[in-house]
Amino acid sequence: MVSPVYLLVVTIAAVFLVPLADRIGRSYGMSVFYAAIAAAAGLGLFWFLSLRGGAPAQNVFIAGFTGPYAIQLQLGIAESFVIVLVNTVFLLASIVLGGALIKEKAYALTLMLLMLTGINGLVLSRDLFNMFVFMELLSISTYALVAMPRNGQAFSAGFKYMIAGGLASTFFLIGTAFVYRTAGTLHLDYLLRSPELLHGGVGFAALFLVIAALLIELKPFPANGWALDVYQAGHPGVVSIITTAGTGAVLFVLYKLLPLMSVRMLQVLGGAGIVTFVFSNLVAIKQENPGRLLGYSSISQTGLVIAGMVFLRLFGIREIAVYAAVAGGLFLNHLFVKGLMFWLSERVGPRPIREWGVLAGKPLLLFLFGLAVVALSGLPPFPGFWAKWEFLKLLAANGYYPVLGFILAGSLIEVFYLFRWLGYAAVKEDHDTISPAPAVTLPMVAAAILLLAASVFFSGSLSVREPLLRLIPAAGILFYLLEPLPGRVKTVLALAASGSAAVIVLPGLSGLHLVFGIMLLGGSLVQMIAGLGSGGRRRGIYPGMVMMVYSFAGLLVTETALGFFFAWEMMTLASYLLILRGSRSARTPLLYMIFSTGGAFLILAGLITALPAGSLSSAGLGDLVFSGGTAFYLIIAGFLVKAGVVGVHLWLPGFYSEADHDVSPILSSALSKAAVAGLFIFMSLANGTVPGSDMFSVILGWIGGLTAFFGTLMAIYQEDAKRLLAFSSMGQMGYIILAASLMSTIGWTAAIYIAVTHLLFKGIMFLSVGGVVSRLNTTNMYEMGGMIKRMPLSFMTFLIGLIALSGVPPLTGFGGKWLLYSALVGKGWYMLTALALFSSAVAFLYCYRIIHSVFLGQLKTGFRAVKEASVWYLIPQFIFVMLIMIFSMVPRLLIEPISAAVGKLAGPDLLWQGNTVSHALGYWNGTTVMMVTMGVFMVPLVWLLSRVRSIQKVKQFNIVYAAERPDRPETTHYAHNFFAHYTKALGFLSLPLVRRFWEGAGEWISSIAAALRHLYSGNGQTYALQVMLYITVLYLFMR
Amino acid sequence: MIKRLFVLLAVAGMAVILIPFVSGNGAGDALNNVAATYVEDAPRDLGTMNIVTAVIVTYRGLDTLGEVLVLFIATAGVGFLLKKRREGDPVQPPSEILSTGGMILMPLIVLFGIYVFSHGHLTPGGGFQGGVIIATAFLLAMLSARRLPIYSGLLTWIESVSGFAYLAVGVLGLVLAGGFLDSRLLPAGRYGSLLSSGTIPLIYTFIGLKVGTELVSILDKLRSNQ
Amino acid sequence: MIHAVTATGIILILTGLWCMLTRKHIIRIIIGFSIIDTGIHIMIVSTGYIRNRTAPILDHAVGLQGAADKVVDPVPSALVLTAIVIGLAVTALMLSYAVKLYRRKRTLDINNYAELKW
Repeated sequence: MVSPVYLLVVTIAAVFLVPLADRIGRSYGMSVFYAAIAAAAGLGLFWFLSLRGGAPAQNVFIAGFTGPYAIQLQLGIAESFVIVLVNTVFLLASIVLGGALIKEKAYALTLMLLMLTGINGLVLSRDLFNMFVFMELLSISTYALVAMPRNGQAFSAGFKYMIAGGLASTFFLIGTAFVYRTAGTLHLDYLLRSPELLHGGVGFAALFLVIAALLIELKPFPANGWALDVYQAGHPGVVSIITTAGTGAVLFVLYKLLPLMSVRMLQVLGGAGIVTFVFSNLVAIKQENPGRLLGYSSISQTGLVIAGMVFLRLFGIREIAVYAAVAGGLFLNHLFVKGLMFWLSERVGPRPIREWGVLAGKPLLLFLFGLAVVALSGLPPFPGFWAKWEFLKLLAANGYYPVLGFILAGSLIEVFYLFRWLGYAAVKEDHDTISPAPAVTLPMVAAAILLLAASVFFSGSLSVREPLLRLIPAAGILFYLLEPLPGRVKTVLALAASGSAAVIVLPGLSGLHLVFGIMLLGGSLVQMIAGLGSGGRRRGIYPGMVMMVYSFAGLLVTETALGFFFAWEMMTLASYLLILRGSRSARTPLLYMIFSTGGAFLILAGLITALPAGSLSSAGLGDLVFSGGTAFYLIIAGFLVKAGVVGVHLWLPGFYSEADHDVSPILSSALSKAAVAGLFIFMSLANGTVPGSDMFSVILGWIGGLTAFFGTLMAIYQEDAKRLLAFSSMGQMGYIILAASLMSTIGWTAAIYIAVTHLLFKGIMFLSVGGVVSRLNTTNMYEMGGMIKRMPLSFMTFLIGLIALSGVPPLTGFGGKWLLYSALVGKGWYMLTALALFSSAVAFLYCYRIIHSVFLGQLKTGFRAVKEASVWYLIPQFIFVMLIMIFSMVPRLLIEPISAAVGKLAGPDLLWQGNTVSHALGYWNGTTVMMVTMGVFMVPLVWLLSRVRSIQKVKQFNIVYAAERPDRPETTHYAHNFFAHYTKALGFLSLPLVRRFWEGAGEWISSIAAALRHLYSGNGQTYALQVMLYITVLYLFMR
Repeated sequence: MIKRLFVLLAVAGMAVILIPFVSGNGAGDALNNVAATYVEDAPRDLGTMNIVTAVIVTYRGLDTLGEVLVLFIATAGVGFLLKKRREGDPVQPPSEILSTGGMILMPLIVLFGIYVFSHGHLTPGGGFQGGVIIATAFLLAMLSARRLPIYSGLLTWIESVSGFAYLAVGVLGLVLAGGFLDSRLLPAGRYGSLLSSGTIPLIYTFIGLKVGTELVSILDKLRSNQ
Repeated sequence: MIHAVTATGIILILTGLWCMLTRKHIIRIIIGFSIIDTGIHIMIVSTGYIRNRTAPILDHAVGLQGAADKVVDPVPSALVLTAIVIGLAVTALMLSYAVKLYRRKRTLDINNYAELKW
């Protein structure tokens, strides 16, 4: 192998050659510059591959002396990993900077090369003072390069940076001198032989100063104002190097010094990392400037990496592989993402984040930005996801639950501001354009590809081996690449892809998994047919749609806890993409993302807490230990958030109603069942092992009952047809949870029965209304009316869906209610029975309202010529109608497999006699009920038909308004504010208390952020003061 | 006022951190292993009388290379930040005595600088010190001469070539001797003579030239940027 | 003796820090830094000192025999050289920044350069 010295020689030689070559001509100087950096990156790659291939680590002594007498360079697997990463990103950043560098004198090129020399030296060196020299190379060249934009801001930022950096160097230097004084050597390996020399007295003070200096270089909160100014004012290309390659090198130095530190030092350092992570994210939420926002985010990520490696050391872990998986993964993720984002901010130019809508018209840039946001948020399939899982798992295994909580809280804040930014970029169309700049775009694409490649690498090493899980992101990317095709072609392809997933997955499932598999996959497939009804490109739908269907399959197939969480997060991401595409405002997708992530974090916390001790990543779902209780309750709470129970339903109405008209039905009918599936999967896993189950069951029951009640109540006040249906879904979810909480055979059978029927009738209703809305282009019910004349087929299916929903015989809804009430009464929960009955009664109000306002009443003038909804919307509706009819005629077809899947739980079983099902409280024969009802229906029908001649037709507009024209015409429409009179009776229950609560919480957090921001006064001296006070406090803690 | 209090607090905090160094830095009574080895082995292995030079150029040679690069950053950084301006006439021309005296002293100082860097392995001094002395000669000239043309192209050339030569000697050490920057590339020679100690005098010459030209060019840039 | 030298270094460092934190004039802040640097250099040199010993230059007065018992530690002297050079580079760059800042706003009061914040 090539001696590691050459890595330094290459760039140093270029430092001296560039000025000479530049005298000959600009392009010669640039060529030498790029050749040297490319050579360094190439060397890094070569070393990394050879060392991974089993080549031995290289140790090189300067000047040929060995032992503690000469400086040693070490090139092991860890060093090569960092070197290949930082040199690659440095190369990409230099390409981004190309346009700016060519305008500068050769000095700029020299400074860049010296910076890289410093970075590489820091990684290789094993000598404390030598590291100081390389750190100065890195810092001083950075001080100069910060001035590159050559404006006042850059100059003052550069000067502030010098003050803080100068202080850090001072501490490092004093510390190093006294480390030598105490230990008699500067060679790391010899220092490591007796680290206790540095744990007391002068030795401690010396080591402390070195560590403190490194920490200051890593910009800990709150002693980092100078760094933020640099991030804001510097050239994005230079700043991207500072925060990726520069920070990476310093982090690696810290990694090398970890074994020297005492337990106390490690604890305080880890705490400093966590504080930085949480508070930098917090302050970031008030930030509008992209550079500064990225700065806060970079600093927080650095804090997380510090915490990652420090806690690993604290847990006594020595395997490099674990450090690579946690700190390496987090760093790699940060490296490529921050590079990409800073370069993108160079492309977008000096715009506040609210104006990033310029990206909306640029599919490639938007895709890259989305990818970066997703990766930075720690969502799968990116390295940050795997690393966070490993890290949190280790924290939980060692009982560091508060740290775990802080990390999740910080991550949630991070998700908030990143996805808010993505919302600005994706939703707000801006007609400004940004000019093409391939020199910036190509490195971004390269970073994205490298990030994806690294994702594959990391997912492989962390044993998510189920091939289907890997297909989820792959399918998304494939359909992104297919985007230029016409919409209908993509629908057919998506149907084929999803259909084949269903065909492959379903035969392998059994029990509850099979039931939910049929619901999720079958339900989505049927409703996807409606996509054929819309023309055009339909950009942005199918990547999300296919990913979502594959995630459903993954959720049911996976046998590991990590696999489950992976599929769950992919599903969240996929559905986010769907709502982002359809929504008109940025608010709905953001709310959805926040609550979904919050729920997912609860699930994550529960899963890792339940992992058996000493388990590998591949711990199976069956191995989870729920005997502590907490883990189980966390997981259930997560699913309840995702189900949108009352109190955390803020995201729900928008999410179910604002997507495209053919997508909303799938979200509301099928996706909502994923939460139910999760609930059942974990409840059956934990069945019997959780302490305090009775109390749990009662609480869950009330949550379900209240959700049913409030969902229904809020539905009746909606003006928007799709929102009404969305709230209705919330109510139905309440019934399902209520039934599930019973923990008995009949209860669970009822829950799943209701879930299936809800899927069917809500699919019908959403598709039917979607068909109407797509013709009328309004969702306000008071603007509709009389559609029975124009869209009789839609009306018919809608009516059937409505009857099924309302729970009156003879259709399937009745069976669900019958089972539910029977089970509730059987359990003795009379209050909840009453609440459920009352909610069902209220449900009639909105059922009446929607059918009355949309289909009955007068046909509006403007809509006289509308046609029946597209046949592609009708086909899935008819399929569902047929299923409802069959299940209504022969309920046994549905109930028997469900109760078989549920298996034996507490309480009596259901008994069958022919088509009659019976249990302790009564019996029901669906077939007979159907016959009788049809008979009762037919007799009046025949009578009415016989009297058809005497019908008097009433002409439209035979009412006259006298003289006055109302200001808001819709207020005179009787379908507007339909249930105003009920507001007097029940209105107090539907006050937006929940919304006020969450908004209050949001404002509270935001005002903390606003207050914290004022630490950053902008004054260089104050920053220096903060640095010194920070170090003092750190000293007092570590001593 | 509040800020003053915080400053006081911060400085006091620093004092608390630094105090242990006073009490813990009692005079040792023997060299530690590393230092003793340097003192005993350097004359034999490297042929240097000045042990500090042996440490700087050979044992800790990578630090010194880094140091040279740091100086290079200073030149490049100053050059990067300050664009050269047209030189204006001095406000008050130097007097006859000053300029004549300066012209007489300048070559002597340069000569002394060359002596210091070429004898670095024998006496106190070395490339950095010699380079600085040379630069002071030019500073004197800048202050005293009526017009002093500095050819920045020439400076760049000397700087780059001597830097490159230093690096080349280092790499030759890796290829032909024990390791990168090994000064035993050339024979140790007779102890105490000018041409001894392997490549150390050579390296110090390159460093002296480089440091001298670098400092001159920094001074030049700061001067022409009033 | 040696305590006094180290203490002098520390007093210089603290003085420099005080100067850096309280003076408003950028040039004075830079001077503060130089004072800190000097203090550090004194501290570093003091770490190598051994009472009654001479500089590690093995001329005829010291001789090669038993030299290890006659000279002070050469390593801190080597380190301090590097430190001095680095200090010089930092000072040069700071002064260049001061020139640039002055040219922008015609003032060297650090309070006038706080436009970036929060």
